[in-house]
Amino acid sequence: MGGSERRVARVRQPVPAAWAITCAALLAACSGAEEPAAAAGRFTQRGATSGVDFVLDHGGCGAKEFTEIVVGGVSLLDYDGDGDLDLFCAQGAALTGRVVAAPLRDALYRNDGGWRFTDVTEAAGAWDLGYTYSASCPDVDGDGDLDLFLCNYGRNTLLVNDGQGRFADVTEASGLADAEWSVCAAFVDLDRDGDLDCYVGNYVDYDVATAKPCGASLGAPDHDYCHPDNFRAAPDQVLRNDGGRDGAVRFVDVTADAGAVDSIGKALAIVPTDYDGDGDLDLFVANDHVPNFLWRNDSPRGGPIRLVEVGGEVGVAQDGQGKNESCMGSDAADVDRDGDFDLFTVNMAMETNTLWVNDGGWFVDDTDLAGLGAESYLWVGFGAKFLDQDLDGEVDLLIANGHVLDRVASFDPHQSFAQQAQLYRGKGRGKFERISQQGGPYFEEKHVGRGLATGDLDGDGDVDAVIAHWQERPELLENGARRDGRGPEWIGVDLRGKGGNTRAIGARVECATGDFKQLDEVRGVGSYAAWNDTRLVFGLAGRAGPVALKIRWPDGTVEQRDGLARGRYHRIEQR
Amino acid sequence: MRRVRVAWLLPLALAASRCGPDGATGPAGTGTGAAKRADERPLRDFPLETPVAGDAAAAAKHVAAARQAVGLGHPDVAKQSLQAALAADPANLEALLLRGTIGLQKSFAWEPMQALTAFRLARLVDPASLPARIGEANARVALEDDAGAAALLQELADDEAAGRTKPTEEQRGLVQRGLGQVALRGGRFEEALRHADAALAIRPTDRASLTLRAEVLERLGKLPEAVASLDVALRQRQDDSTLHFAMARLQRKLGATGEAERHAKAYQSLLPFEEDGSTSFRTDWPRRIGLRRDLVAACPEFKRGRHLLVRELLGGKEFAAARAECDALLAADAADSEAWFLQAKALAGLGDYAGARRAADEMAKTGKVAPPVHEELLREIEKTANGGK
Repeated sequence: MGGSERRVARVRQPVPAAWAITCAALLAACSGAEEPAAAAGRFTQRGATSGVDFVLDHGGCGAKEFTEIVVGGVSLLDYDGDGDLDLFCAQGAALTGRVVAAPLRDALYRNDGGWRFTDVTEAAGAWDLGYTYSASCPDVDGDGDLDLFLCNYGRNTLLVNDGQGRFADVTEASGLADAEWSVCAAFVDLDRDGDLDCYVGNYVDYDVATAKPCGASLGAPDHDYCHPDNFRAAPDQVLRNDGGRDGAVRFVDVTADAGAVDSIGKALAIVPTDYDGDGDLDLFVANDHVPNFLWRNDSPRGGPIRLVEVGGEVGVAQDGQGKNESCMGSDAADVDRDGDFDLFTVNMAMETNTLWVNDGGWFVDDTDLAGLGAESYLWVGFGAKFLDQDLDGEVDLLIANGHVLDRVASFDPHQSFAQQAQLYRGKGRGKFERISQQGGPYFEEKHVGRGLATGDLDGDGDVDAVIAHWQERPELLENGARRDGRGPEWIGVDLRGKGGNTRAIGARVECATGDFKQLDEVRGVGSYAAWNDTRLVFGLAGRAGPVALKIRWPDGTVEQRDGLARGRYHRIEQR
Repeated sequence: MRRVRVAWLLPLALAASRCGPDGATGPAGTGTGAAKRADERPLRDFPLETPVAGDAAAAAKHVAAARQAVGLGHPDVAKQSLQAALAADPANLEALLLRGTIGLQKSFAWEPMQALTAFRLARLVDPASLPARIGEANARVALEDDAGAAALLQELADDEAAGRTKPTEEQRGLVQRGLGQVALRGGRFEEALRHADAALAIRPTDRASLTLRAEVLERLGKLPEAVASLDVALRQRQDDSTLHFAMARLQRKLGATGEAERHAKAYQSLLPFEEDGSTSFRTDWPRRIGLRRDLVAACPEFKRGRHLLVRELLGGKEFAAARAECDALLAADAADSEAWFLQAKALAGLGDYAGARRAADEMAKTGKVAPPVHEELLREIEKTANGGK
């Protein structure tokens, strides 16, 4: 990694600016003129014409409650089982002093094809009045349809799908009504008993009723959003799925028994991944300015859930310099194609993003060597997702940026609140180059980016994206890889597991064309405040020869599928 | 593109409430569904105007005050003095260089962005200024602007080789170290090692160069050599958590579990002091003292850890315990100026003002501290003796 005199500072509360600048002039100087959206480019903006009229609202009115600044979740799920991905947008709630004409509520949009969506929130009952950060979309009851678990500031909500696309609130009976400030939740079969258990990532202990404003005491002309150091961490929760026999959804809090009660972080993202290749899913938890967790899953098959925190031991608790980072969106991928999963987080400005390369269960911070350091130093990342954007078989990377201090430019002219998203192309062997300018007009725009979800929204075989914007509508980005000339140079996998884990979360798939091998996992949760397409897409451009898939199902059984046709999705049911 | 003039003292106030028609707070810089388009070019290179000369005499007084504050370890005072100096004379080269220099000091006033701007302004004032050029290059290294840094550093190295400039040893070392850091981040490990060795040939005890060398050697798989290099750095700066972190990792790789644990413990005991900016931690004396005791237990051979423990004992008003620690330190090394300094404070806290003055004088006799430090310590003792007046 870089030299010793780097990355120690992050933006705190606004200190009196030794350097101030005429902000308006600076912003004018650094912003180009408005341009009409161009049709060309890797990603085409579809939001404006999609029918998605949702506007993310943080619910505040100037008090700058800490809850406001990290809101913005988006999820992709096929709620109606018609084969395409629908869109769920998480919404804030009116905070003290805010008067609204109608309650703020989440929104569910049905995908009607052709990049048109219809608001079906009411009809589907897919919302609550909580202050929602993200929605996880697992099949919690194993009945084959996707349910909604809403992570809220305050009581979380579980909405169970009746199979007809209508949701019912079963939170109280489910045991999932945790009242901490939850930002993310992973649903994985930790004990490998066939159903999905739950890990809820909670952030900090913050009470809007009693919290004091931040910044003013430091001499700033106005108060500002608080730094997380001001608050105690809220404990995460581990919940075992004990439902199923009588059709009821029932989770039991096993945090203490699982060994997770003493490790308290400030969770903003979770990535389930089998980092040690032992056949079960482990959990990487990205924490905000305190050490990250890597929970090694030591649960015996069908036995009690046992998690052991090894983040510090294996090198992902901090960056390569030993600094706690403000980790937000996170993801895992085999970026160097060496057969194991590497980890990535996006962080605050004045910290680089971090790529930990897996070296046999130990991780090395290779951010700079990968080309992901310098390019991220001035940015505040939230959404972060690996994808093979150009279908060339190498992992690419999409990042949504946006600062957490709306006045940041007033005391640091080098930074801005609204920021551009970034697109990186994987060059192979774990190296990346930023190609935002080839990504389309969207990457020239500035937004306060938050959640980012990926999935093949138009079913054409390349992976599209949705990015939540703070106080704006989300953007829908159509990947033009297929449109721009890629033929059937891909293969899609849509797995169906046995038992209650119907979407085979935790399955690991190796796609081989000759000696060229790609690796991926079914996760759902990942990035920031997002649920992603659980189908996997492997790019095959320039890779001749037959395609062979090696699937390791969540229960450990391994299956080989050869001779699969390119250019289509394959629904594969576990035998 | 318009050029932007830096205003040094521009209070920016926001409206007290930004609630919209229904009370909503709008985003800054964007409108609903309508985004500004802009370059992705980093803002670190925003245009600057050449500063205009002002009252040099007035600025000189503030610069002197800033230098004194630096000597006394008061970063905020130093920054305020430099701000005043630059308000009086925006083209004051000395003030700009000092502002840049302290902004690159990790344990003092780490603000690499501000450092870069200061050095850029200094170069506008005097394009040939060697400290400004080297400062800008190293600020760019710190900000991971490797392309910008590499170009500047190579230019500096070429100028020196051609005899166009005559840098000091320190400046030559900085250039080599910067080139090494850029090469390391670019994955050119052998080249990075050559630069690290060149930097150390000029300044054998430069901590940052030792750390760089250790990092490169680790990448090259030369772990014992990396440990040796890091060990020298660690002996110079025993309270740098990153050094302990790196040492723990190296020792773990070498299978030296006990050593790894020891350094990991030291790292964990140091980290909160570097990273936890909360009010609760600043005043949580039992925890702070406990962490310092952990450090001393992990690295009993490091005197610095015991100094830090005494500082926390003083903060927690445990003056007797602080005095006892100082006695032990001074029994081991009667020329330990830091221990005398802390002893004076402990004695003042216990009400032994005569003893405190004697300790302050003993500190001065070691010859290791600047006279202003002695004077300020005596003033502080008097103030304590007078009930804080």
